Amino acid sequence: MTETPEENTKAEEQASAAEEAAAEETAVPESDSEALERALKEAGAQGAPWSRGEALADSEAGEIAAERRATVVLLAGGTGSGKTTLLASLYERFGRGPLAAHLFDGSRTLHGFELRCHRSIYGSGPGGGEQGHTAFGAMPWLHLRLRRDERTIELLMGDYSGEHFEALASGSEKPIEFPQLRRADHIGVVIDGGALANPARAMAEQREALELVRALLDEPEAYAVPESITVIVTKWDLVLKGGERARKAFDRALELISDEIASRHPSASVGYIETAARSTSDQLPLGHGVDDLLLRWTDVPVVPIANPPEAAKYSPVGPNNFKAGE
Amino acid sequence: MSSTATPLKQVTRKLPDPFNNRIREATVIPTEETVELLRQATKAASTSLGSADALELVRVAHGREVSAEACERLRARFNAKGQVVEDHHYQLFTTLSAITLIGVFDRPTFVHGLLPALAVRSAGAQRWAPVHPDVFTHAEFYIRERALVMRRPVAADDFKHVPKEGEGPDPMVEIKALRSSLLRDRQLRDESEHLIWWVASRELPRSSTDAAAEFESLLGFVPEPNGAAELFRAKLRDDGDPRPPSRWTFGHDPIPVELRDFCPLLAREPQVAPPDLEQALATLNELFLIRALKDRPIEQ
Repeated sequence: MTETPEENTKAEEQASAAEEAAAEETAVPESDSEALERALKEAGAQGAPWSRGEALADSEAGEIAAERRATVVLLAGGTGSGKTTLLASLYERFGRGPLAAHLFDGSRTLHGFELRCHRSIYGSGPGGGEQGHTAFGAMPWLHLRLRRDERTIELLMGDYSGEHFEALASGSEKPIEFPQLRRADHIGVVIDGGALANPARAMAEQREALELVRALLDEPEAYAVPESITVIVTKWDLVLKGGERARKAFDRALELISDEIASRHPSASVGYIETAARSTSDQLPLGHGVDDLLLRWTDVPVVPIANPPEAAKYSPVGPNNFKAGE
Repeated sequence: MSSTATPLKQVTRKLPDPFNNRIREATVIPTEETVELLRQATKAASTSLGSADALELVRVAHGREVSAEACERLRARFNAKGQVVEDHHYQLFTTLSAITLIGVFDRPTFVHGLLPALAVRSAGAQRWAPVHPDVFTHAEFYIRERALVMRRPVAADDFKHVPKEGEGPDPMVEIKALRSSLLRDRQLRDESEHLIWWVASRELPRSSTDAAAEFESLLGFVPEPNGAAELFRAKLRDDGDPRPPSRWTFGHDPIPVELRDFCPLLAREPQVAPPDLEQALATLNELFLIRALKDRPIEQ
């Protein structure tokens, strides 16, 4: 006697229900760690961007920005200037409690921060490029969620390889090709204090920082507003140790950059911040200056680019009649 | 959105594009495809925009709370051509709302933008912060441009009828257009005469609300002429001599439920106090909002 297709399906359903019941009877209850591991695997398989806690790609960082207005920060400086160490030290500093009235409220890139902390202390480690520096194609975005006076701040910090900025400074690449610069609410031009303290490298460091700023300013469309640029000097402890000569080298670098910016944007005020993330000096604590840096980034978090109505150019009403908030 | 590594260098030649400048409020580095999708979403959202959704867009663009149904409705507008806004994308939702409004204000016709533009101005008077300053500047420009267009003198060829292909000239259409042009011309003349009388009259309105209501009743067209602030200044100027109180009490239509949060000055108890320029202008805007909603009522 042959079975009809309906009977076949029914028999299959019954068999599968019996199998499921048997599996339920023999199943060992899942422990918490197993459940966590399974959930992480499932999340990873589904492509949840922050399931591994590593640094984020543009699209993943975009997810955060789509939820809440994120403050985007970009540190621009040559290889080994201390960009990654500075970001790692900002994260580490929260391990000791609130920083400059900011409370740590989470991060989607904890593992990314830990890897950077490891590399910045031991000089090498997973995720790094040559000599422990940030690899050229590494995922760039690190995330911190902070709270300050009932306000939640989403901080997205771009940790790009210094090679990119060396190419900008040398003119082999153009800032307009880096949309991150225009998106950034804050661009920190990083000067390596260690190089300034070294008489053989001081001039080259001054020149490189100046060239980077010049390249940026040459294309006004490549950045949001001139006020977004801040000069950050790292390894300030080495500048102090280098004495009068190192101090003068830094003053000269800052003067050159300030003059350059003032010549293009006379009304722009450009600040500078001294930092010593891994201070070796008794005079400066570990993570010196990261509080100032954080305040700078969160005090002025939003840089909207205003666009007057296109038709205003041809209208008797005129484009100058429109200023937001007036 | 895929989670692939993207290089720092991305050749984007459209950086100064206003759309990109605005969308950066809710993105980091969107790809060209994403930008195009978002652009399409705002275009789709601005088509056939009714009064109810226009007002909700203004609220969302200023970070105000709106009902779950309104949120759902607006999100569906953005997602009409593909999923771009998820439930938790609040910043993106707000930014797209702002861009949609700006799109409405930038249209060359002056039909759909009046109600939201006046609502944006009311939001500005209440110090609501828009997600992008362009919302305010474009709304203000729209209002000022509309004021000019509405009061444009009647031109000789305004009533010329251009027949469609295959049709002959239609004298009745031309006569209708001529009549309406003459009517508009008369309204224009009446409005300016009324305004001259109002400014020249020594009677002083009893309050900012009265000053606004008097002024609004004299206008044949919405919004106010671009020199309105100067006219108010001239009217309210204190030249030392005591001035008789105004004999007129105009009052105003009841505030529709949909406009309650946009009309805080009209909603409060009437006060007798020397008129204040800023308050009078803000109240005038609220009166216009009511008038604009009457012309384009909330669709049921």
